[in-house]
Amino acid sequence: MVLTIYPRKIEVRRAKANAGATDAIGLLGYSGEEATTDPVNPQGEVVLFKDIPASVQASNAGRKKDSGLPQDITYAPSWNIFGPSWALAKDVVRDRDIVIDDQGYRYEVAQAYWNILGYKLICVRMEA
Amino acid sequence: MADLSDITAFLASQSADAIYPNGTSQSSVAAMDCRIYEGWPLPDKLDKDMRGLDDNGNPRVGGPVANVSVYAMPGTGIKIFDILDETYVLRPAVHGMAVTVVNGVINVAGQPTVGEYISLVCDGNIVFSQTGASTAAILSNLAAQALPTYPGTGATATTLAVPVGHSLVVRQGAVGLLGKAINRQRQSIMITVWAPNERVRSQLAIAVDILTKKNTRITLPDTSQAVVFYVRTSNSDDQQASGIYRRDLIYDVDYATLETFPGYEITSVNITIASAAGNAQATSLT
Repeated sequence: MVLTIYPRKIEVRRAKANAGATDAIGLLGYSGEEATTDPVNPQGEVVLFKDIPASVQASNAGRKKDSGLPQDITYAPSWNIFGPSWALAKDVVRDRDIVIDDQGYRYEVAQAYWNILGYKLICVRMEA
Repeated sequence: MADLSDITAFLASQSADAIYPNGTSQSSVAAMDCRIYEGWPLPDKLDKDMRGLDDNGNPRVGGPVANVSVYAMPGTGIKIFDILDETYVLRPAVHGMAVTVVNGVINVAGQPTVGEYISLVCDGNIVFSQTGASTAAILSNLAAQALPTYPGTGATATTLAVPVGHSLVVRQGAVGLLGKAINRQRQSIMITVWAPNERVRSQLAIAVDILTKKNTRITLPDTSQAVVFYVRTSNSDDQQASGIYRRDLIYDVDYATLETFPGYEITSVNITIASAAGNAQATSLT
């Protein structure tokens, strides 16, 4: 039953602060997020949760970008990702966290909303 | 070679000097913590910095943190005219060996710098030239090269004897670094101050602005020079509901694209002379 409601698996990541864990001040080099989990890379991401059961549901399809590639049909489509409360506790996911699903698609959490049934993550898919 | 990244790195570093004139162990000009970096702020981090929260959302020990970001504005690069035909010596060749010839025997003192070489012109015609990791290696390589032509050639760790017929010329050379500006361009760079209030914004922006305007000619790591001049400033209070006061300081930077390449000291010359019939005749001159 659980598998039918939450048939997918997701991973939740969070960008490291540009200062890293040291909360450094002064000149810090480059600030920007990189999609790597390399522990020594200060611009990488931290994996918060892995193998979370989830339901990934299509929402608004997004529009074609003006400057898109010829095959682009949609850009930044919205997806609703549901995670059960027994797998994702309250307050563990924040807006702007990164979700990666079991097909390798990457999403940014626009609005993380928790209720007694679990999380509803309104996400936008990140793609070229 | 100078690149856009060198420019933004320089301006970020200079902004840090302006904001922390006595280093980060002392307080900044705005008397609050400040982060200076290239690129753009991460939104979540910026929100927390403005509110004085740490990464976990708890109150940060040092309180709020102002941010200063440095970024090259898209679509603002242009070509500027310059005459670019000069090649410059960026790093002269340095000799580590001292070569003398005593009674027909080559004596070498010292050890070679990286890539240094010795050339022999024997009997005005035959050229041997070798490099190596050490003086002994160079002499050994030269001996191996000369031996088929001059049986009896012998080398030690510091000497080389070549039984030439009538003349022996020894030259040494080393590798320097040459550079040529192959393009000059102008790019707008935006230094953005992100502060939690107007007071901090103006204190940080004034410090950065004065130092940047003062230092109009800068030297980049590859020795080329860039010229920085002020373009405009824009204040933005749009984000005050988010607790962010922003000021953009925009400067144009003229900088050279510098191609660097090794320069070898010439120790022998070969010239090919064409005969009347058009057949090439190889000749060696010294």
